[in-house]
Order: sequence, then structure tokens, then C-alpha cells
Amino acid sequence: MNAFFISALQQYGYPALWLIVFVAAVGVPISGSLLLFGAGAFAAFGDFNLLILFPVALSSAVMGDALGYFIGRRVGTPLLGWFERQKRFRFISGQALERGRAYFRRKTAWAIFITRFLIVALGGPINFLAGIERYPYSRFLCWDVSGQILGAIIPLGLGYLFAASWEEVAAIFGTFSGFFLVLLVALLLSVQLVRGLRQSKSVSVAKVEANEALQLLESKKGGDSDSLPILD
Amino acid sequence: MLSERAKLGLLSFLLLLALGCLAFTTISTIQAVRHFQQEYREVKAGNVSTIHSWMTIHAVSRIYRVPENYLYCSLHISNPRLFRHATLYDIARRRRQPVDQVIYTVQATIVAYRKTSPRLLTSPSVCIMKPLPPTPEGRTSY
Repeated sequence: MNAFFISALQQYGYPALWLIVFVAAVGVPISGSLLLFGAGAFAAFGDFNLLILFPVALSSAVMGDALGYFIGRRVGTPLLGWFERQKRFRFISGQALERGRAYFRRKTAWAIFITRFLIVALGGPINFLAGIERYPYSRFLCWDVSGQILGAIIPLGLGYLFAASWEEVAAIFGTFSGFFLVLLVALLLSVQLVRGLRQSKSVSVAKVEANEALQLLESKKGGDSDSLPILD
Repeated sequence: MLSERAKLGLLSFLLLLALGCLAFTTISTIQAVRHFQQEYREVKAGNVSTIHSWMTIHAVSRIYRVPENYLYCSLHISNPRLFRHATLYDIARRRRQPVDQVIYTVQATIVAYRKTSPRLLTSPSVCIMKPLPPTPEGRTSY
């Protein structure tokens, strides 16, 4: 697959690069980033001009992201509404879904920025989700362009610098991207776990205190026949 | 839906899973870095085993310092202009050959060129080269 795209890049030049990066940015599982590494390497051999490659890569990625965003906005929002109304397929409670959506709304800017150049594989889904959440397009565009500038400079620059070994550099970038994603997930889970443990501890402390208070009240009442129940 | 204890258990399990994945990705990243270092060293040394299917004849010529015409001659390409942007993968596909066979031919040509005097270089229109030994199946590294 990659050999085919590299071949197309060599045969058809900049238009092929624009089209492939655009399609990858929309969310089709093609590695646009890998192609940019290759394009950078070919620029080092004199086949492409780095100063033309950069605007071509940037414009195609930004336009692909915009299309993904508007698809999410047009199609995703009614789809999510329909999903929320369904009870048959629901494996996530409405509250959990709303919590997740609220969390995403708080972190959308960072999610957009990081997925442009570091966790590139999640770029398509994030565009779609940002559209579903009706994140303001002006802000989306701002974070998108900022991230995509890095998303174009890093692979093109590394490809240009390590021309003959660009595939190996791209492999490092890919594995590091995976490492960073898993690290983020592990950190989030750790925070959730610590919060959960603290919460359960505070609940048990509150129960003990409540029991002590009840026992104190009972002993003060002394000979009353109706004693208050002790909490579990 | 889930009790507090079950939620904590699930979170712990997911965290363990994430830590396992973290270890795996760390090892993969380190291996990728080592592989890159090894490959980079070999490319610098001019080892022909580092020729890949994505390379064009022009790129091979630049990396391994062999004249383009010499490589085109070895592949029996009479009109290099048509193949200026063709990768080795593309050349193999056009000739209906396995890509490894084309890579082997290029490797053998580079090794042969290094053995002979650079004076054997030819003009674009004339091609004076000894035929290469028969290509074995699969890719051979030198």
C-alpha cells in the first residue's frame, strides 16, 4: 500500500500528495504523515521543492480536517441524538455519555492540537467529534492550523534530514506516537483510580462518623424505648 | 449501574492493561531507534543491503554514488527520461518482475561498479556493460 502511494507521489507529484493527505485528513485510514516523510526525503534528492511541499501539505490537511468537521456537524449530531434515544443498543448510561461529552468539550482545543502532529491516527475521529459537539469553527480552525503547521514541518523536515533512512525515522515517530497515547491513557486512568479510592475512603469515614454520632445520641436518650437504627 | 467496588476493580484492570501496553510501546520505540541507528550507519557506509523499493534510480545514484546511466543500463532501460520518477517498485511492476529481483540487479550493479574503474562510465546514449550474473530468487544482501 505504502509502495503504491510513494509510487503515485513520484509519478504525479504535488497533486497526488495534496489528494492523499486530504483523504487521510478526512479520516480514511491512510498514513498521510508517512507520505510527508517520503516527500521530504525526495525533496532532499531534488525531486521536490520543500518550500512548495509545505503549503501543499498544510492546505490539504486543513481542508481535509474541515471536511471531517463538517461531516461530523451535519451527520454526527443527528446520529448521536438518535443513539441517545435508543434503549436497545445502549451499553453506556446517559449520564456517563454526558460526562464524556462534557470532558471532551473541556479538552477539545488540546485534542485538536495534539492530534495534528503527535497522535495523528486520532485526527479524523477528533474532527468528527468536534463537529458533533458543535465546537466553534473559528477556534477549530485556529487550533487545527497551529497543529498542522507542526504536522507538516516535522515529517517534511525529518524526511529531508534523514533522506535515505526516512522509513526508519517514520517508524520511530509512529511508535513514539503510540507510546504517548498509551501514556496519556495510563495517566488518566491513574487519576480516576486515585479519585475513586479517595471517594470511597471518604464515604466509609463519613459512615463511621455517622454511626458514632447516632450511638452518642442513643446513649444520651438513655432509657428511651425507640432507639435509632445503626447504619451499615 | 456498577457498584463502587466494581468500578475500582475495572479501573485497576484497565490501568494494568495500559501499563502493559506502555511497556510494549516503550520497547517498540527503543527497538525502532536502534534499527534506525543501524540502518543510518549502513547507509553512510554505502551498504547496498539498504536499498529499498521506494527508491528511484536517481535516489540510488545519489545515495550510493553510482552514475544514473550505469544503473539504467544494468536494468536495460533505453529511455531513462521515462523512468526518471519511477521507483524500483514501479520499475518491477512495469517489467512484471518481483521487486526483489530488480533490487538485486541494482545491488549487483553497484558492487560491480565499485570493483571496476569509474572510467567505464558511458554517455547517456551508449551503454558498455558486461551482463550481470543470473539473478537468484529472493533478495540477496552483500
